[in-house]
Amino acid sequence: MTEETTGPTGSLRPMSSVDHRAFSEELVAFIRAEVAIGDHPLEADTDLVLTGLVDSLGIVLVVEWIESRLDITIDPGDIVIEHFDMVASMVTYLRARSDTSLD
Amino acid sequence: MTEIETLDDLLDTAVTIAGADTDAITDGRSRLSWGEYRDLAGRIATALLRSGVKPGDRVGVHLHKSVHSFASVHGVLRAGAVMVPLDALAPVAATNAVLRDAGASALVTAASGDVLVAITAGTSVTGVVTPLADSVSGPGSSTVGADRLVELEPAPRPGVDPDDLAYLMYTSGSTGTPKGMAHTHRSGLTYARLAAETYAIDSSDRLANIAPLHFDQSTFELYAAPLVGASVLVVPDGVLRFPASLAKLIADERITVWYSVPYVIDQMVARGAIEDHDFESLRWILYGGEPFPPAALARAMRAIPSARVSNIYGPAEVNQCTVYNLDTPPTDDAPIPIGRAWSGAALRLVDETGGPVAPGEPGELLVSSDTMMRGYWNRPDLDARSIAEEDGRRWYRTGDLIAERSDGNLVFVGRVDNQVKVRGHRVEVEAVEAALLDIDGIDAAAVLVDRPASGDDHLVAVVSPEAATVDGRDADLIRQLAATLPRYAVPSRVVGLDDLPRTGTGKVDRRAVGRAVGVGDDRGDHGADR
Repeated sequence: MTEETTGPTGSLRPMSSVDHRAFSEELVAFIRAEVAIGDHPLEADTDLVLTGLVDSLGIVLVVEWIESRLDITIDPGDIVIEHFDMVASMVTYLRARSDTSLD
Repeated sequence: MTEIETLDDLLDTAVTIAGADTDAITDGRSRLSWGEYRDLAGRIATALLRSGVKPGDRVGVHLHKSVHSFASVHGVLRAGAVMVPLDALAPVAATNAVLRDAGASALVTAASGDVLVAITAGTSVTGVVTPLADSVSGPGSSTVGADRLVELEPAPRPGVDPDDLAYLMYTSGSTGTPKGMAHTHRSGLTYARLAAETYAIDSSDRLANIAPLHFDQSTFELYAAPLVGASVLVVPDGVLRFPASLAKLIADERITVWYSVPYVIDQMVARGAIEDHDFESLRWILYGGEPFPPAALARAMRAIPSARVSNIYGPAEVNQCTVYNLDTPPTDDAPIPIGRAWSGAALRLVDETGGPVAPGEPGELLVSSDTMMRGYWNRPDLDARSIAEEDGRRWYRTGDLIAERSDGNLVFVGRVDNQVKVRGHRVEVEAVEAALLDIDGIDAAAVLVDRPASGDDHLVAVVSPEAATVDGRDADLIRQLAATLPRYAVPSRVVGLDDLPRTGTGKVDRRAVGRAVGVGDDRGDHGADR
């Protein structure tokens, strides 16, 4: 499905809609395979920092992956604990942005 | 006012100086006055005493950073016990190893269920206090929780001596066996007094606690702050991973004194959107643990012009021994000196025979001061190697190669052994290599530090044969290491090579391995300064 949306800069660009549940699973899988340290179970509502699964470098990797996957830029001021402490928070934050294609 | 002599008295001192109702400590969620902080610590002490803790017993503090973790430290001291800070993010096996080595009889923790059982398995722990959860009753598994703490009266002073032990600060040894630095009330309190005097800290100051309890930088906020009635912001573990969250909290809390490793400051300046906040209150940025790359330090000082900067050097064994202050940003790439001897510290630079080095030549730094530990906990072998008695003084051999410049300032040159620093944490590369060699299928291993220009320092493991790794990172290998090593000692990358370069004596040649895989020091600062 293709649609047009208005980003924060007001530009119009075509986007493919991404199901947020599938995106959440994809992100969990990426973190599990490429970022996670230790063997703590990882779900969308797992606290990534307090479990020790993700450190500062890992957060950078997660942000880069999201930016690439959704073709967006995340402002450094938006990379805060409320938005990135767990995958569920990231999905909520991304769905609230007007320039992402998460449904 | 009578001058205090032991750390258990600090919160009473703060109440006297600042007033019981004055804000004392916050973690961004909870906020306590000095009276509330003192009483919470006192009730934790009572719970420990009722569980059978005796003066001199070791008690672990195993909590994520919060007002409760700080109160627990002071609670252990108020019970007359020896505080053992534990890394709340460490693997269960590592925590268990420290509790065993310390012979701990009690634990203040947030752990429960299977994790608590695993952490305490085979240890002497019989008392468990959980200030953030309710009590649990059951044979062999009873805990004193928040619900019972509120009913207890705060414990009175324990009557300890200044030369009694106050805390054990653990670090991983070269064999992977943890070693505990045993500090007395006198060494801790002397350090707190000097720190407060050096930076003219008083009850109007607000200190940011960045370091975790098991990292020696935290002794600054734990002890120097209450000594003068300065309040403390305990920055939660989670916030530290998010530079923008950290910047907002520091600005909102109007912090006046900051102390951390350079990496945390650099990341906040680079990624924290600090232009959105007001840092005018910040008057001191203290850093230590490793060198600050001059360009990054200059960027930080230009971004926060209100703050003077102080480079603090000193292994945890001596708390601190030199200092170098900067009022203006560095203008070239020359490494920042570690400065001159701190008040009360005697320093010597010696060659391999123990004799003095020629002027300007590097030598191993020996330190003698009242802030020095008594020794390593139950390790006379390490004491014999690390502590020399000469001229009627005890000298700690730092293992750091230091040179004196013509202007009298000292500069860090390197190490006499293979210890490296990663974001301020000591890592003995042999211990990480030994853990790699314990994994089936790995025949040889070298552990290197990659210090890219971005400042994201990390460990890289190079293993042989190449078939032991998968696609350059190998999450499975990293996971196996994370089960036994502290997080800061777990490599971020794994590279496979069929043959590791060797020296003439057959040992793995780490420098040649680094060249072979393109891993090294892009900043030229070695990273081993502390």
